[in-house]
Amino acid sequence: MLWNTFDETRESQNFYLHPEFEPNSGITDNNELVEKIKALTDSMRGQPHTIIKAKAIECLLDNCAIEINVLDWFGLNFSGWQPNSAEDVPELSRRAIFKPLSYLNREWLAEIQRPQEFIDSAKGIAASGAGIFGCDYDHSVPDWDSVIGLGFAGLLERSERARAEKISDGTLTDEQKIYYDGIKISYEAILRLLDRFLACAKKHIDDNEKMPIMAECLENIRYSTPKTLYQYLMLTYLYHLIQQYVDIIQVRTLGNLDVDGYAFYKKDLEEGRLTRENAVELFQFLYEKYTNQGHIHAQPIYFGGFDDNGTLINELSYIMLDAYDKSCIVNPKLFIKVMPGTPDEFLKKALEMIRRGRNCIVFINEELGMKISRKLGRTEEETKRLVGTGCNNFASRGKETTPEHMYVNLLKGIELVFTRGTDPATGEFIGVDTGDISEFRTYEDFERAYVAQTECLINKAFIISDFYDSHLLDINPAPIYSASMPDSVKNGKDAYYNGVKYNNTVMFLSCHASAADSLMMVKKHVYDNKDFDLCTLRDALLDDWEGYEEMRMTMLGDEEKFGNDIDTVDSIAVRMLDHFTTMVTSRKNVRGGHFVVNGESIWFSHRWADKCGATPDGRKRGDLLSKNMSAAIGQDRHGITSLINSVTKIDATGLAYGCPFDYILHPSAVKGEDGLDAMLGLLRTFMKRGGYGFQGNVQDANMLRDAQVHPENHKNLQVRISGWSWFFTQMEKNFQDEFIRRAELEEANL
Amino acid sequence: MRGFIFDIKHFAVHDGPGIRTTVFLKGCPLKCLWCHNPESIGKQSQLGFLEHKCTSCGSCVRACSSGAHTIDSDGKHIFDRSKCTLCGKCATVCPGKVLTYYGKEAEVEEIVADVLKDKDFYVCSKNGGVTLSGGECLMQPDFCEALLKRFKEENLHTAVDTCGFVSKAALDKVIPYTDLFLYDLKAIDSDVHKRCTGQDNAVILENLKYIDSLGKSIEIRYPYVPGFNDGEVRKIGELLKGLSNITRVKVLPYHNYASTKYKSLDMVDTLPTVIPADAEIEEAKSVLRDMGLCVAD
Repeated sequence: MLWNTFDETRESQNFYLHPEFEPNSGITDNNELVEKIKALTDSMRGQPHTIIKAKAIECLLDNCAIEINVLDWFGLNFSGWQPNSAEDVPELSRRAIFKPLSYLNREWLAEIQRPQEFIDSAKGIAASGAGIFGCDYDHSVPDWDSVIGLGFAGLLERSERARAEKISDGTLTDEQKIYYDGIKISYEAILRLLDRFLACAKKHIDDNEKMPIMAECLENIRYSTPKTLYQYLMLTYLYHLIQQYVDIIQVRTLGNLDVDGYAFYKKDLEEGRLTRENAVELFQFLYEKYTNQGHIHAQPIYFGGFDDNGTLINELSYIMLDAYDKSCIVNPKLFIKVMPGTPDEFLKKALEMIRRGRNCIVFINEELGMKISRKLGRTEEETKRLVGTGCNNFASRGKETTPEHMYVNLLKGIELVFTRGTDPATGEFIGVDTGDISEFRTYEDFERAYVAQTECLINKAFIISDFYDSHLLDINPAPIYSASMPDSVKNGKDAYYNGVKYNNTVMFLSCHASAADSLMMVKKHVYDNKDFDLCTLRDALLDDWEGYEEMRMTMLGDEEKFGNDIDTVDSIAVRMLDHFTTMVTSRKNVRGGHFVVNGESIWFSHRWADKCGATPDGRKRGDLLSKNMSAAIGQDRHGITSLINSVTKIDATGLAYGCPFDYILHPSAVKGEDGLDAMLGLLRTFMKRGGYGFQGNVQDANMLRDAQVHPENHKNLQVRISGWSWFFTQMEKNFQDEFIRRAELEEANL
Repeated sequence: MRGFIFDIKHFAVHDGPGIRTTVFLKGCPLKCLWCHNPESIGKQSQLGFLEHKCTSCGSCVRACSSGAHTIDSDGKHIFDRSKCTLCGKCATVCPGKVLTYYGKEAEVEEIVADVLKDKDFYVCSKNGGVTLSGGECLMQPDFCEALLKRFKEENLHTAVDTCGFVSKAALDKVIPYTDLFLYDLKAIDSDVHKRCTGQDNAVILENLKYIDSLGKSIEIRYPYVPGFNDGEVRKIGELLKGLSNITRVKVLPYHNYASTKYKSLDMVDTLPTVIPADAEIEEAKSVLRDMGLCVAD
């Protein structure tokens, strides 16, 4: 049967964990395969890394075993890469995907000698919770226009044409030759892999009714470009698989599938190849692939956009939501670009899903994205076609690579003021000596010291980022990704290094609300009201409030905190973020681009909790820090409208690479048609006031508590973590407890 | 002008259309057995004490000059209401918000400024705006008039949530500035009404017809309380059928979430024990729908 097979074959679609490779199609054992590749790359020591990487790709793709699951529209797989299973790694937050060539970038990164400046800057940062760093390959979007418009063969041809042009005008450099060779070796290997898939499909052509259609699809993808919706989606699937798990450059969006797939869908309908119901099922099959790959941060897909005629939301957008709803999954994750002209009907459909717990959806403000784009100097043409990427941010389409090597904790500077730059837990001196606090006469003295400590951490982050940035080409050259990027091909330069038009580097400035709350409490209780002196406060903080409970309760219970629409404290958050984002964005990186800022805390609000000592906002060591753009936990006491008013006072154009707002709503507050209208009203207001990303949970504490005790009754319960969602019952208990606590606090405000 | 309120709730979704802010005025002429806002009934200030959440930190003891709060020899906080002067200082220092002060004199402009903070939300949601509720807000008719007048000057959609047990003169003050009345209808049968609320309903029914005759939009709110007014569905439907400006009927299922509040206020808990089943509510809605009325989901 061609259709209505999704549910009955669903289990068999999860073939990554237990693959059944075509007999004699290649090496099935991942370790054996990696050993073979390693033997080759070890023998090539001294050669350019781009060539070694390309040869490794070639060796992998020529020797891997292949598999076609004839029951699955997207049933293609090859050996070498594999997700962790729940049996192997029970903790969801630690599950990873094995990538056969990752040993190369690990080795190449280890080989590079760290300059003293890097060593000094990095020392103590991670252990103290002042920040987190690492060389990042997770933030790029291939130019899907090129991939879809040219196909694999066409991408190779374009690269070879660019090489030929340079040869003919006598400008081809040695570096460019290496670059083009890398693409040639890699893409020829990809085409050979496609030949093998095609032959295998033909061999199994009578096994299932789907196979002739799959064979035709593979033929087109091998030699040409997609002609149908199915072929288009198959190309995105295969390209993603190869770039993400072979090139090890994460594909941060599968693309604008509704908009780019619409012409194919219409043609399919007209020519009788597909019905609306078939299209829903096709997307269910596609989504299932990403569900089964199990990337814990999930694979993004973005919806919408606009042109001169208005919104680009179309029938396929609705079909894709229907498929998502039917499947009840959290991967891929959905990203909806919102303009004033985005239809209410579509937004309400998504909001209604969220209200029912299908909450792996974020709404992103496209008008704001355009404002940011112009501020960053992108052209009008680029500004109109922004890509929705990653968890919740925008990038220019096909012209941008933005690694994210470094997160800075904005709260840490508060602690360092009291200790003159030394982290109390580790004893490491990580900040600057801002002097004896007993000599701080005014609040301004304190704030100046905080700014100095945070600037010190940001300066260290620049040095750390520069180190990684300057070695990207040595660590992980990216021939597969590069071939998709037109500017990279034209320039003959690696796209993940400096080959594209916008080679920016992201720095995260996280947990602003906890920092603003702490500053406010110092200002109010130490300097304005003179309730306590600064030295007593220091003693209390260093003793983790032991013996100072009343002081702590005063600080914790004070409502003058970020998130309550109170200008005194909100203005501190605004001023601090303006200051630090200006500092970061004024700095050039080493790849010919700029630093840009993301305001997310992701899950570091959780992971830094134990590393950050007590702070003047009433936190004890171990208590959570504020998450993303939202208030610190329990500190927003005047309801969601006040919280949104506070959040949108911040100039989100400074936090150009993302600053999502996380809401939590009680189901009773948004029940019925009125409730859905109210959710839409919140979303529209948030966008109108210049908010960036809108994501969250509608849940009550009772249900979460019951799910913790009786997981078997709540298998489908989803919770939004940060830029992604998980199934509640699969999460570790400490994560679950955090969600229960947040829901309890929301209920207390009802 | 000053009025007496006990709360301002932002993001009120079920007090009229769109996203609203509801201003709760203190004092009510009825005593509905199921009242879920017991703090709204009295005209005077009240102090709520959630004893089970108290950590006996002692902040209130230090703030209280009349000795109403003490810590006993076991370290437990004791609140002696007979000594309380209702000054409210203890509630302002209570770190866990275990003590809550209900009742506040507020200026019109103070309330307007608070309500206007959410103006963007009203504009971006369907007919969002401001609702005056209570208690019975029209027990303070001049204050309501002044507030509503100011809200209209700010182009806000206005709603008045009333039990209808008020004078016609009070209604006349607010009618020109009210876009929508949220009108509580508990029973048509006079005896049932008296038993449930302590008052006869003749004035209420008369006022409803009066507002309707002026062409004002009215949303009816019928609290459905099994064993008390659940036999009133058809009678309510019959009455409403004869009116011209009923935009919608909302059947509000009774719940007993307020029992902690009664305890915290040291008030006699009059809450009925039987909660309506979903099917009962759906049945009531469908009866009203079948009578040609627009019934909310």
